Amino acid sequence: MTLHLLLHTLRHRRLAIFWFTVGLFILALLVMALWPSSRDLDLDAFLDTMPEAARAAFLGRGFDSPAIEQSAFLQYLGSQLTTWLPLLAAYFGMWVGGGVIARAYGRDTLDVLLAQPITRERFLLTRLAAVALGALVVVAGAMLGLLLGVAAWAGDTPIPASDIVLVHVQLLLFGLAAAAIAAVVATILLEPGRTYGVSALIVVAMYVLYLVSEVVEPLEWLGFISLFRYWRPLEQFATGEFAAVEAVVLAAVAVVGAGLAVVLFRRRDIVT
Amino acid sequence: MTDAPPIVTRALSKSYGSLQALTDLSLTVEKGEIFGFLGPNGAGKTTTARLLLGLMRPTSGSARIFGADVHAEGPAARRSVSYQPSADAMYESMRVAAYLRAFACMGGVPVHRTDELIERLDLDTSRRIKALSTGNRQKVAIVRALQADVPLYLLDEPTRGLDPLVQQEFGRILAEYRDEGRTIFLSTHILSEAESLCDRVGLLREGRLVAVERVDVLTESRVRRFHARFAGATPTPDDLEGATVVSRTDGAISFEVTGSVDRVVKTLARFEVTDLTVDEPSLEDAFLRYYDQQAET
Repeated sequence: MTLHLLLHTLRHRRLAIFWFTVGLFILALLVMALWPSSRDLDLDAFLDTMPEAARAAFLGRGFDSPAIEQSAFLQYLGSQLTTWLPLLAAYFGMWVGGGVIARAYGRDTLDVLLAQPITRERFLLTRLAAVALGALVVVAGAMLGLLLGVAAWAGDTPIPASDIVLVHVQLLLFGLAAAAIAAVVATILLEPGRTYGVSALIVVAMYVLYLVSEVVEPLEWLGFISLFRYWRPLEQFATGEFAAVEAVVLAAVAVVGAGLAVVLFRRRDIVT
Repeated sequence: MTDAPPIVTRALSKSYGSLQALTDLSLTVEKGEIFGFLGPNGAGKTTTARLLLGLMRPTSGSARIFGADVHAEGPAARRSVSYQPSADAMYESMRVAAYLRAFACMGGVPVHRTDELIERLDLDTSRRIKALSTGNRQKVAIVRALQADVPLYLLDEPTRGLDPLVQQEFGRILAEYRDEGRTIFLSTHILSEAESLCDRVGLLREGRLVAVERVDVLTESRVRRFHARFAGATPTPDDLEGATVVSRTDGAISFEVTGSVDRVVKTLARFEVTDLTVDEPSLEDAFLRYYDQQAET
């Protein structure tokens, strides 16, 4: 029965998963396709005009490592991956994570699903497993786009494929953490409009906190409560080392969030 | 399945803040009966169904399905139940056949009679749900619920939007299910529907169960109000033996009849009737009159 619920959930999110996958694949290709025309821009000079903290916000942590400072390509890639990719991943996570409950509630299908002989815990964990599978497909699309794009347009400045893969492992964990937070919001609010609204507010607040923490040194601690603090693609490219601590934090947020959502949902009245 | 009754509730109550939706509901539904749960909209019928399914937690009291507590043993309790909600709980983009198949698998309970139900309710399974009329959507909901091979069905306003012929067929299907020993808990706000489909009915008013009675007993004591117009002579109160005349003018008469109407119909047949209407008493009137009569006797 769990398998049927899993397949049923995936079936109903297949269009969203498909279009996100295609979208991120094309976007990653486009980013790399624009690299040849961007490489002649003096990105260094542009970055030099920025305060150090703003550069960190723009490029992500690790911008000041020698490997990055000497590579216009990595600076370009870092700026792209730090600005739009985590926001898209957060949006996707928020949408599908909140949707595990809110979407069914908004369509009045939650009653019929929960009237089946299945525990609330198993129901929610199965739906979250479908989210994880969907996120895996979407992230794989982005990764494939970047791998192909690098091979096609940045052949003279190769970066290891393993680094690209590991960056996307980070991205997957980042998206799952956002999804788990949205799932918690959904179990509390149920109603889709409020769930997506509050989840979006949380994502925006975390992004602002991250920027503030990078720009205002006394408020650096604020960054630790933002998911964006733990998205470190540039460090991977600069050092070739996986940001394991950050990955563990993101995974922990995903697991604890899912657990909290299950605990809350177990006792939640489904009131229409 | 145990020998425990299909549904037993004890002092089941539910409140939303200051709003008391259900108060001290103690009810036993027996095996092999069609139980009508009657009440106007907002009386607490859907709240009761949701409590029975464990979709909500009671403020106090308990509910058991075939002996299994609906919360402590939720999946075990729901394994014996198939639920048809009143809302349009559908996946709009799915075709009917795929929708029925999906729920046949997902429930984890065996299914039966799917093709027969589709044929008898005249349901086109090749169409997408979003293209269906209200009545056809209701048929889908009914087939989805009744295709589950379980001993108990919770049906919430099942005939909403069905045309009279389909309603009749639906009634026959429910009777067959009952004759097979299955139990049907049917909530409705339409007295005539409960009369035609149910063996026993309970009346819910403002969250309280005010009466439980067999339908045939209620029907016997039921009061109908007749309004008749005549081209020629108008019957006198003496002509209408067994009826209580409410008003009489030249050419028109209104009267009430309790129980069988056979005698007054035969009386009216002796006159030239140009118009005849019969008012159905409201749900509450029917029950209140019944209990008034009980009190008088």
